[in-house]
Amino acid sequence: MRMIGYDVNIVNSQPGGTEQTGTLALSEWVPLGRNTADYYLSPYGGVTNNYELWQLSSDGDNTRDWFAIKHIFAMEPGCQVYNSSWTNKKGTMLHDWAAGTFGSPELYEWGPLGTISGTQTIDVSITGGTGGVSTTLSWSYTQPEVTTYDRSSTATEKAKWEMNFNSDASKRSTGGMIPGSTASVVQHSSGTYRILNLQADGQFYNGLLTYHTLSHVWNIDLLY
Amino acid sequence: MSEDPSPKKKRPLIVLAVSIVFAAGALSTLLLIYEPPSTAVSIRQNIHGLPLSEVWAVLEEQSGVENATAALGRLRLVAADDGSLELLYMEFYGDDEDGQHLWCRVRVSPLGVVTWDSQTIDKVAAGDHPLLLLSEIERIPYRELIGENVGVIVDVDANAGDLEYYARYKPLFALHQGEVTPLERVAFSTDEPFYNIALFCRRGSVSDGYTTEETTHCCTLFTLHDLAKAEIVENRSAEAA
Repeated sequence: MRMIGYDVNIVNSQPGGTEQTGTLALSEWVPLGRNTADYYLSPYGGVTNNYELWQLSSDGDNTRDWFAIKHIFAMEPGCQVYNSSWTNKKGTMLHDWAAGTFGSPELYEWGPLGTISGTQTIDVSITGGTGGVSTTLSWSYTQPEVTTYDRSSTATEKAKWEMNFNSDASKRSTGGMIPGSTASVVQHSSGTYRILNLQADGQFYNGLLTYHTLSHVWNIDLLY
Repeated sequence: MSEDPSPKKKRPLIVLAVSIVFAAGALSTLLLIYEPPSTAVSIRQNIHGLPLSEVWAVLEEQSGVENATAALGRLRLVAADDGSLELLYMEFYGDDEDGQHLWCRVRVSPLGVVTWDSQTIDKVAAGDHPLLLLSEIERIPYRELIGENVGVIVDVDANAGDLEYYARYKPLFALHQGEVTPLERVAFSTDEPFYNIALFCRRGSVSDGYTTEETTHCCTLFTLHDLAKAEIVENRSAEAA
């Protein structure tokens, strides 16, 4: 069984020729939008789908725009929040840049990369920009006793991760990860365009071969 | 990205019931029980006057983290329209007395039950001492910033890199000892993580048994400690503010 919630967020374009001052880099990531969504349903649990969206200013490219997204994902099992028998099974995070309407989206960088098993601290650093511009956005987080798989593909322009909860402790408590990605799209000067869809799926398990998935999707549009 | 796949669990999940007598300004003891009796929970939890510094004193003592090594990872506070605390979630790092790196997660439920666990990890995330943030966050003037009778979420996390914040996106403030100063622009270009304190106004809804939370980002605050890491800090003129 699958339950899906949708939210549309329209953000306003911000960058406008930021001046270079002091020791600042040639370009900077400027916040465009930020939001939080908690999608809970008894007795299964809840999914948190938060994000920070950034646009690259002074990107050195008059044909394309660059965006970065930091995605805060978490699952809270029903056994913790509702005192039920449902536990965390698997989480999935999708940055669907191909769903954008700017035209010619190109997934550029994403993180974390590869397969990561066990409790450990992970550094994520993503960049964007053309023509020698390389501007960094980075952060760190610690994953619990899970295995995360990187399913991203520049062929589909989608960054995607799966996290499987391994231990009993991780299945029965809040767990999540903070992935991110950058992409470039065709530049526009007016109108409203979809940047990407940001999806979070949380699959819960009740120990009786029954699964339930809660999904939340942010449809993020940009108004010039 | 660190690679040790086999950290050892330091201790099992422990459920604590915290009874803190804030009115008297003193902390009572932590009770090691699995099901807290209703009489054991006497936290006065309201985001207006939430004594995070005192909560930290308890956590620091109980977690075994050496105070000097402690660093805040993330913090999330969720409060209802009347300011009552619905959730406190915090992650912090530090070394124990044997020098082992610990990752600690703390969750406080609406009933005041504190659930926390700690695990040894190979590497801690860089960051500042929790008290640097908590002592400022506990004094955020919420009514001044978002008005009365509005549910609020406070999200605190750290970024690094080449980042620039403008008040034209969302209002920016410097936060110092309970007072906020409007800012026009803050720009960072650093590998050192800095914390941003984001305030969200809540729009909750319940439909067919589903509880969903939709929120609006209201403003971003920085402590003076983090503003000192910025390349550019521009105050906002009185007319613009």
